[in-house]
Amino acid sequence: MNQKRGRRRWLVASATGVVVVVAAVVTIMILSGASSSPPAPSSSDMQAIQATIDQFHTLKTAASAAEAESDPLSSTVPATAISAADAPYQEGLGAIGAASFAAEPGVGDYVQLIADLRRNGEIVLKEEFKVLSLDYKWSCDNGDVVVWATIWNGVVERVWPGKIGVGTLPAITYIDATPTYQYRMRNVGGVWKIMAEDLVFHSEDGSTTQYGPDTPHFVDSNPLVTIPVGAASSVSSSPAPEPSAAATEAN
Amino acid sequence: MMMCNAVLAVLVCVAASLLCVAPALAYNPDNSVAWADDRWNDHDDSHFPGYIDNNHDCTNYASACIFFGGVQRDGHWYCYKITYNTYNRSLEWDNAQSMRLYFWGKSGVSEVGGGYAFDPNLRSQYGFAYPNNDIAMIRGDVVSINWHKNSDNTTDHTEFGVGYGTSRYNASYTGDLIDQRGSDRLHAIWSCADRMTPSDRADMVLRVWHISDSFTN
Repeated sequence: MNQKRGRRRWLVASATGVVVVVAAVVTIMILSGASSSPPAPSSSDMQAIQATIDQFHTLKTAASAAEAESDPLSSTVPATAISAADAPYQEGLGAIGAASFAAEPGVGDYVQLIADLRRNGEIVLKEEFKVLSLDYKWSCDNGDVVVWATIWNGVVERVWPGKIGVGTLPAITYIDATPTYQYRMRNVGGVWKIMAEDLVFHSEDGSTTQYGPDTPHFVDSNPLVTIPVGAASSVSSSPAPEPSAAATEAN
Repeated sequence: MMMCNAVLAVLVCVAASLLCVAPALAYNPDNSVAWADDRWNDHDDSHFPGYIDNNHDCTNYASACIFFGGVQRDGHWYCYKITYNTYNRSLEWDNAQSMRLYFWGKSGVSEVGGGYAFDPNLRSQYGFAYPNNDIAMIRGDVVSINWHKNSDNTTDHTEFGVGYGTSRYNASYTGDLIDQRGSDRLHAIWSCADRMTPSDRADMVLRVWHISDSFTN
């Protein structure tokens, strides 16, 4: 009888010990995991990140405006004009973006892409951008920082109803939207570079008779990117002013 | 007299049985476009409402257009009303990627004119020609869109082709037109050129597909 009791006590003590050890190990793992996750960027880092994103869009604005100066009655942009617009664009892109980013559709070939629009009767006079808000989302194990930027993006175009230079005189059109893009940024030698760009929230013009950040825009609320578990709560800073409520028509 | 009644009864039975086994209705784009133009912003539509998808119902709307064109629901592609505000619908009915995959590969469904990609590299990758606002799209065709090819390779959005004309949203643009729900549109340009900027169109892949008049699923 005593032997049985002793065995039971021993079993209870052993089980309790195992539970305590497992709990301790799990706690240590959680704590060590939390402490080893990369830190969020500082406020000055976020300012530098926004400066890089601003610079990328400024390059596009300059390239689109440079191309618009070429023959306004031609369906094609002369190769010399494309080269003249592309050279400073590529140089600037190399300074702020990784090669993998430049290889993304619409990034490295932006100048050609704008030129191709003429085949469809569209002459881009200027494409412009403004970062409306910038939010830190999460940091990757390799130190890369992921941010979401809501951007006002507008374009001024001269659109010929048919072929450029033929038929009815063209109208000037204004189209704008406020999409949100995800940027993966990496600090390379003290400079924050864009590693990748992905669309998060699709946006369309809500009224083509109005133009500007505070005009109606359709903005989707379904994110198009995969958000890592636990990352959504790590929103931290918003250095740029928030868009006004009138700027979005959430679906 | 009794003989006549018997013959009549047999004839009625034969006619009824013939009706029961009649093939599914062929696809009539005129009927589908009529419904599309009528319900493009009706999220409370009693048959296939958008509110149960939190109004993200571009594909529910396109499926309904196809259904009202005569394509019958089946065990994979369906939406049925259960109570006044509950519906049983399949992923193939209201998910853009699943719906495209359901139809693609079936006899009578074909891709029109190779589709559209704004970026030259994407056009090359897919073998598409340079996109025009006016392509070989006709009433009743469907447009499946991946908003951002760089993020993934799946369809995010569905538009429904309704004919040719000038965009209601930007009179500078004339071409093939679509209706859609979600971002509600009646007679907008299929390629989104009338409402999206070049940078936002850069990474898009649009695939236009046609359902033949004799299509049955």
